[in-house]
Amino acid sequence: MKVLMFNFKYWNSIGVLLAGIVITIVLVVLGTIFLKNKDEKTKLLPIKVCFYILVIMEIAKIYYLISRDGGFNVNRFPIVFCSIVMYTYPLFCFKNNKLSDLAMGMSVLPCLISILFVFLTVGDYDLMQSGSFNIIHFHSIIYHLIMFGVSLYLITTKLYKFEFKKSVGIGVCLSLYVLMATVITLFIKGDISFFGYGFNGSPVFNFLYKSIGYVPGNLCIILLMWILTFLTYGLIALCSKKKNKVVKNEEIKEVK
Amino acid sequence: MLNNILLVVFTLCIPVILFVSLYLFKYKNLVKVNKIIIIVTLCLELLRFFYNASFYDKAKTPSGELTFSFISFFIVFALFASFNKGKLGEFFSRVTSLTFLIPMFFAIFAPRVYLALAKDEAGNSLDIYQIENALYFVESGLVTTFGLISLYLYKDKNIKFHMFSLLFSIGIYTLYTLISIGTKYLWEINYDYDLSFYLSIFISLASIFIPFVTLVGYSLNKKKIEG
Repeated sequence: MKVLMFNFKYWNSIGVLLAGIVITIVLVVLGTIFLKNKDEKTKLLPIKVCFYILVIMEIAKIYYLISRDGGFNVNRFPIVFCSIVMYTYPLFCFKNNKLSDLAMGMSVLPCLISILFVFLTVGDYDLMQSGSFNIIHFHSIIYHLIMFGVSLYLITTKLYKFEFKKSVGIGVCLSLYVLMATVITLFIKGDISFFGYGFNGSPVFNFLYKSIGYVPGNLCIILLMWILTFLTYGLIALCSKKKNKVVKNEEIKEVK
Repeated sequence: MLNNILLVVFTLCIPVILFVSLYLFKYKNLVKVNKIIIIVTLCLELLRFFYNASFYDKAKTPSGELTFSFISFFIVFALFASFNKGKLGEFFSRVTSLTFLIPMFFAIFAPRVYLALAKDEAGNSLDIYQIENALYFVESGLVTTFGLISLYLYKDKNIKFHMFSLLFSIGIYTLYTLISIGTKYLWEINYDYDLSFYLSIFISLASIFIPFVTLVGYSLNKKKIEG
């Protein structure tokens, strides 16, 4: 059954994803509560563990694909959108540097959006393909759940603070990524993440590509990312400004 | 129709994104920003030109198929405006502060300036990924940003200054139109001089008055406040 863009064809995958989301939220809440009064280094420990898990999973996947297919396609290099976390996590969880804040930002909002894309395509994943368990689809669901969990964790533990100024760096990184994916796709005539031409797993983007063309479609995606980033960071900044104003007014009243 | 909507959207949104970013970082060196914008736009225009030329086995230059639209001329003016510190630089700076909306309005009524005309034997466009469209949309946005910054830099000048800028801009645009019509007459056979052709010229000319009226309005308002 298809509801708008969501394809609820294979309920085994959807069931695993939904159960996974619930478990991830519970783990994030527990982690936030138990590490509430600890220092930043201790709070970053779960993210370090997640990073190592992701690297091991990625290496295992590459090894499995080479042995299954007898080769390795270019578009299976870890340059898809969701592989960003493998490059951003080490930038902030091991040693603080100039790019730490930007890397943390890239691990929050873009990763939360990526779980939405998993929802768009998970209905097409049949975990019991041809009677045998499809390990690659299962790997994909677990990978994205870990990303989702770390994004939530960074927000709930207040390791990442939303500031309107930070939205520009996020917008620039996302734009550069989409441009890179577009150029690589045009060169290899294949699919990079959801920005591939002819990719069938993302009905939203396919509709865009068919209506206005591939490159203009990706430019529209860049524009939407900027708008979404500005709106999210702007609204949060506005809310925190109002909250600070209310707190200040109450303090002045107490003093009087 | 969709292409025109996208053109307008990008022309309006790119300046907004750039100005919000400059505001957030409190970056005030707008002259340097303009230099960077025009260099990027030049690179995109060169890419667009060579990409279009690549469709032809033997590129015939000049030809109506390898079109030099107003945006190409604007980029040249803007380079002079940004890097020449003499009278020529000032002249073109005045022109760019009033003519930055022409690439958008011209393209709305004459889409052939950004749509690749090269077709295969079956009549399908060779630009299957619509790269030329995309490059023109971004260039239009960058050119508008350049023009708005130039406008901002000239906002405190007097009305006489703006009147002369208007005359220069109309003169340059008329010259471009005559060159464009001349090349079409000489090198393009059976060119369709239809309503959209005339509309593109006149509405583009009218678009010069939008920034002019803004500058004059600002000057009058400033006089009223000071007076």
